[in-house]
Amino acid sequence: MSRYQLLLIQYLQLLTTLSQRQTSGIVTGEMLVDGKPLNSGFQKGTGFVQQQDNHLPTQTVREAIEFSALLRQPREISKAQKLADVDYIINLLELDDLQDAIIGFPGAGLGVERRKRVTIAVELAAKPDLLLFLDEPTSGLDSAGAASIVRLLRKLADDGQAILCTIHQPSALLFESFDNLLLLGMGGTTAYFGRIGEKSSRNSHVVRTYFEQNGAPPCPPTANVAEYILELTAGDRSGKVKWGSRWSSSIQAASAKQAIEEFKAERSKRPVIHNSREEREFSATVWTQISLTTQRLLVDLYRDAAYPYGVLFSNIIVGLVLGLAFQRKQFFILTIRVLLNKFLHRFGEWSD
Amino acid sequence: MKFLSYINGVSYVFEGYMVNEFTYSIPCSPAQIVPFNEARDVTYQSCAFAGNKPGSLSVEGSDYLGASFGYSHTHLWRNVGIIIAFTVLYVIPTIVASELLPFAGGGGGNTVFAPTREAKRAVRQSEARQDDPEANAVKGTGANIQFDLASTQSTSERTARTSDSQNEKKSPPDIAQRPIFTWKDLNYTVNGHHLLNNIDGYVKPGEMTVYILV
Repeated sequence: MSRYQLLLIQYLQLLTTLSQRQTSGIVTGEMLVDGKPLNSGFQKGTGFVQQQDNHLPTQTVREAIEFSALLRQPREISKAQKLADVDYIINLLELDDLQDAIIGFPGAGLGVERRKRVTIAVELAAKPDLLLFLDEPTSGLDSAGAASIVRLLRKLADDGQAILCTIHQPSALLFESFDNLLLLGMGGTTAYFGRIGEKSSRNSHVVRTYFEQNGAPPCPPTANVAEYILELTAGDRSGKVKWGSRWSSSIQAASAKQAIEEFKAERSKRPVIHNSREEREFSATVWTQISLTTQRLLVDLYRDAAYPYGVLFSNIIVGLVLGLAFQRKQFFILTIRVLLNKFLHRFGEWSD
Repeated sequence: MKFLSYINGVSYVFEGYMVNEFTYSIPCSPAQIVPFNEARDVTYQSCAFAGNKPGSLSVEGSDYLGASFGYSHTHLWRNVGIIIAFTVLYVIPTIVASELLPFAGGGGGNTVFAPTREAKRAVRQSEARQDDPEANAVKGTGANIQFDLASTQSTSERTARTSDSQNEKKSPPDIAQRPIFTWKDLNYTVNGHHLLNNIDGYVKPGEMTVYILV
């Protein structure tokens, strides 16, 4: 494996490991939800917004979100409630005037930022009450689009959603919209985990203080704190300061560990809430699955009609030619003659 | 259907090609000579082949083409002229059209709306509002801006009904009920590479955590 491949794998690894999607390798450690081990309902309780916005191009925004809500929410919830959730999500992600728009192929149809909003909405429609993972939601967006997405994520978080997301080279403004930072340095070690700033002021005060107190050169007040931290921890490669080992011996690391223990202690006292999501492999009934997917397919064929028309047309023509051929031998011979003799040899002479 | 061959440039090219190639005489095979299998004077024999001439055991290429297709060598340069005319006829409108016509799909793409029942209703509503002089006076001058405003408003009305009732439900106690996800001493190894090394962390409802890898 090349170094670049390794980096890429590592980058995604935390997200895939936490979301229980990894397919190879050995994972050790403790992952708990409210102090209880993960069960089969975990994946259904989390949404994973992938970097590629995969959608059916012929669907409208509302249809895509409804499809996700009806298939992925537990079957105990009434259809009316699921559709009300869809309305709520459309409103939350400011998709009201786009809800009847066709998603379209990338490059045509909805633009990158709108498409990403739809992807987030589709994941939210599954009611990920546990966590929403996002893999680089701002990649491929201009700064205005990135700011819009992060603003909407902030809105979701204020609405009670837990959000974990990777971001590639955030601007200072985006960086400060987040509450917590998990920074992984070389060799997959933690370089920082904790608050970025005070909750009230939303600046990067806390994380900056940590690095400055641990021997980093002071961060100029006008600098982008995210870039300042990245530059510092990238110094690990040249071996100047080992931020990984410095973190593990810091007070902040100890208090983070303590916070985890406190959450575990406090939450494990709560009674186990019976979750219908754990029991079943699929949330929706087989009948719902069949009818919804069939409906979606038929709408797709209707809106992108080139293929069904092609099939229909070629079948009618071929059927007519062959059917008539066997009924009257004359017609068959005539067809062959027209096709071969006249078309190929006597170019364009249809008259005789 | 004969006219199809006249409006098709390929038929002129094909004729030119054929008359240019068939300039030699084609000798008849013995099986094609009539009267067959009788020793006769060549003067009384011929070929059973298109373009034949009495008293000759070979067929001229130009005679064959003339008899079977109506092609003639005299058409050759006429056809060249026709092909040039066709080129001019097709290329010039293409050049003009590609300069003048706007082609959609480039750049940011354009948003297409599906003609669903609700969407049609929204358009009807906004059109009705456009006819209303009072609404126009209030909302502004440009008809397009007016349309956008109206359609946005009518569709958001659709979601407003349900979202209001939900907003009341989403109170702080709901956030406290949501689970907290924690992880401790997380290690991940694949093919001998240690990719994650004792990672601790947690994600709380109502908080955004950003994950950056150096």
